[in-house]
Amino acid sequence: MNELFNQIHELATAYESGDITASQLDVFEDLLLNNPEARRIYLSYTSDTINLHWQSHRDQAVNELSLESLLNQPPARRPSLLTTWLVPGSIAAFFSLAVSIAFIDRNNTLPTETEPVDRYIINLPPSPPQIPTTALIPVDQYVSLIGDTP
Amino acid sequence: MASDPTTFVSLLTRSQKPLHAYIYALTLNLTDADEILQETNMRLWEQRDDYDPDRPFMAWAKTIAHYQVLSSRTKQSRERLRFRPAVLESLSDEAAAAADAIEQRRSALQNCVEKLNDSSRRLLRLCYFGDTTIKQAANQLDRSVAATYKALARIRQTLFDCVEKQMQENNA
Repeated sequence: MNELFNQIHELATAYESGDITASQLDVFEDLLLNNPEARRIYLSYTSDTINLHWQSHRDQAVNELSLESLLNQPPARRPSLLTTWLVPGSIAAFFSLAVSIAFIDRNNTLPTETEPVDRYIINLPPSPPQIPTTALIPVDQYVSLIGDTP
Repeated sequence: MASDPTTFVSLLTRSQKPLHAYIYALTLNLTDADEILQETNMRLWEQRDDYDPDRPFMAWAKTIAHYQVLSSRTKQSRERLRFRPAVLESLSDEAAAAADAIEQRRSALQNCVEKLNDSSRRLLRLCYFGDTTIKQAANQLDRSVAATYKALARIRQTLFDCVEKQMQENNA
């Protein structure tokens, strides 16, 4: 069996590398067509090759995800206080200030002679809250609402 | 009646290694087998509505894979010598049966690989992972090409004998 296995391995290696000669291919095909034991060995050989191929890929994937490789990685950088709060806070404060100044400037701009009067902006004091006035109803209507009372 | 997409994807995922083994047995070239497997997966997905869930998925998938192997021969360069179609036809049924049994060999092979020494395992990894040829592996290992061929043949023989022995013990 060893001799037959070696023969198949040699022919298969030459075939896969593209180096097989025409006469070697004839021998190979004759073995596969007419020798059941050679065919069985060949198919076991190709199955093992595929298993080795898949095993290598799996090993590679496992190695890449192994604890050791994870431990060797540099720790993830935690964002500093400066980048977390100070910078966004400063940007937000600056933006708010800019909007406020623009609003105040716009509302306090003095009218120019070229601007039409109907587009002036007049700053009025806020209107006072509405204080409900006491309801005054006639006595006879009040009596009819609450009925006869002593 | 077609199967639902989730079931189909599950069947397709589980069939990948047996299909790869089947295609490789007919092409005897890992690069070609990888490409044909991808093309077969596309055809299977395109024709998923034709699949009858009451029939074995692998038998249907292998029929399509077989056609993909035959059609790839016409696209490939004629410079490389290849098996005649008669050889492929002759191998097809037994290759399908061998592909179905690939998982049984896998665990045995794994045990046998673990028994090898480090340098043998390294040579196996070089030769069966990626696109490293035996000549490139010889360069990396600082060995002659002839010595590398011999070493690989010896390792494969050892593995084959070991797996066969384990399979016999398991079936006894």
